[in-house]
Amino acid sequence: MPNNWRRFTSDRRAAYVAFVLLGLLLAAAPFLVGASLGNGWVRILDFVLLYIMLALGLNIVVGYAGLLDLGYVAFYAVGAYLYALLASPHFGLHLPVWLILPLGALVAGLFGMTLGAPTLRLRGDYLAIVTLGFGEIIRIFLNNLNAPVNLTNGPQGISMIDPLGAGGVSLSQSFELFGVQVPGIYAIYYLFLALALLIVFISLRLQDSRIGRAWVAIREDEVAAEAMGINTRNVKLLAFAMGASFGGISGGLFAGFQGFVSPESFHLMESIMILCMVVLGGMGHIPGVILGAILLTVLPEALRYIGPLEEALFGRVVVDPADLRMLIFGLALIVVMIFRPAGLWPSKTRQREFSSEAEVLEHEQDALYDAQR
Amino acid sequence: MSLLEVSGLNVSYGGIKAVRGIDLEVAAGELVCLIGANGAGKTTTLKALARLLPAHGKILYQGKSIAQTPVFDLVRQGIALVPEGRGIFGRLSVEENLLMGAYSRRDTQAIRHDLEKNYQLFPRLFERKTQQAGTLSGGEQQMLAIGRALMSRPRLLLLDEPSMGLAPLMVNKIFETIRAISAEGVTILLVEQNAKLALEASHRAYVMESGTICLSGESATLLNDPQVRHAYLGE
Repeated sequence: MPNNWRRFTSDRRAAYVAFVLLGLLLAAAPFLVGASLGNGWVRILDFVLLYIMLALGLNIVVGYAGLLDLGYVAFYAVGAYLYALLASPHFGLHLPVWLILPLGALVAGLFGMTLGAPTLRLRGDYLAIVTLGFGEIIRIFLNNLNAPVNLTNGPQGISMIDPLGAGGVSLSQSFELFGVQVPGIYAIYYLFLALALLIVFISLRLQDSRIGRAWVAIREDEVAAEAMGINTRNVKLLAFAMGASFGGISGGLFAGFQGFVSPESFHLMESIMILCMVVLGGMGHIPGVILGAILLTVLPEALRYIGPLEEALFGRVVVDPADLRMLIFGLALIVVMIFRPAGLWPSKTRQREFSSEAEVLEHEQDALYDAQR
Repeated sequence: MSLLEVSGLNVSYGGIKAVRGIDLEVAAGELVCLIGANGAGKTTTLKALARLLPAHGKILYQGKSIAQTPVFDLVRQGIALVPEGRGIFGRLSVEENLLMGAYSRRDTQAIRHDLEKNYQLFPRLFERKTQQAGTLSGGEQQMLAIGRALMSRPRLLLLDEPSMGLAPLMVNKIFETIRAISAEGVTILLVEQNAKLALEASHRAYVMESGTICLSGESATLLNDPQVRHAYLGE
């Protein structure tokens, strides 16, 4: 981690101050947002953190290892349904949260390997199509596994899921802390924040590890990576498993947070959104991916204000806000990709990759000159 | 005993036999080249030796069969490959590329030492060590690919067409380096289209033609062989 921070700033004291300020901001965020925008936005803040976890998970597969996965939401679904099945009246099971979440990570990781194993030889577009199929298969299974044995309760989904919480304290209701009434969504925020920070930390450590370097090598040139002594099969499977386990944890949190899951939540569109967060933010660059997740979660919500805005401007709703919302959203994506093809906040190396070729040509000339000497 | 001993090597792409039962050997410390025209099966042979292609036949390295050894294990046994088209990691820096070559090693101290040695061999790479490898010129990339392979401290270095796509001056420079590496005691098997340079640099040579070895011997002898001069040296 120190290495990474040194890359951001050479002045360690400034970094330290920024770190503390960021910490304070993160700690105060739900209260600031709640006071200014209302508790609805605190809920959105919770979702932002959830999507940061998801995007960082997908970032391992797509950003680090370069494996294009379009079915990532399947692991989210696995985590969510595992939680729902083990902590709801559906089977009458009520296992504790601290047990289900790690279990969700583990089971999702196994699913990740299940997807990885048959696709080891595939790359790029081909891999994308197989993973897309995988994502859909999981969703369709969830949709139809209500007969002959009712496993998932089909399209109705599973409701009355035990809320997140531990030791008899539930995070779904407001509770009193030092004489102040704190709504549950605030507590959820801190829980999600802690887990998101954990995932950021793991991502940073992975990036600088032997495994992280092996992933990057595979992304760059698989044959050469193997010639360097990297067991490409195992390392790729590990990428799938790690990414999937982050998705599994997020899924569990989602189920406990919502209290309800149904196959509806795990559509292909969801996978694409998470992929957009990774690509738009800056593939393989943790701050970029976090930024992507924040923007793509907040933007669609912020665009809900278009309806009232139209009324204020024209006295009536001219264009259906729902249509306009997705239109503007799509337009924003296109604009970003045109003007910042490497993402909004790319890593330095990726930024260079998208810069001009003039530099390369200049070096060619230099090299020839050198050889002549 | 030879370091590398190959007998009856067959490689096919689908139904087409690209390499038809060839025998070759490389003794420890030798620089052996494999030359021949386009499509003669040189690169295919090298790829089969590096286990990148499925092959039939006996491949003995230090007297033991490596026909079933997975690719990633070869480097631990001392075989390093400089792949066709260099295969450098474009988005990593020059130094990161070199360190990637030492992926199978854990002796940090010695790796540092070898890195310095590499920079002495290729001062060019030292100048550009923080630069992204993909922005290097072709010749520099080839140097990097060779340097990276050396980082695994190989006993046997497999070089696939190091002159490919390079300016003549750069090719000379690369061959000088190959000679220097050989002089340090690294055994080299070199696949090359540039027959003249390869024969001048190597101790022994095999000449391939449509999947078989049609000639072999001391490089100096082959260089003066009228048949070779006619077919491969354009005389």
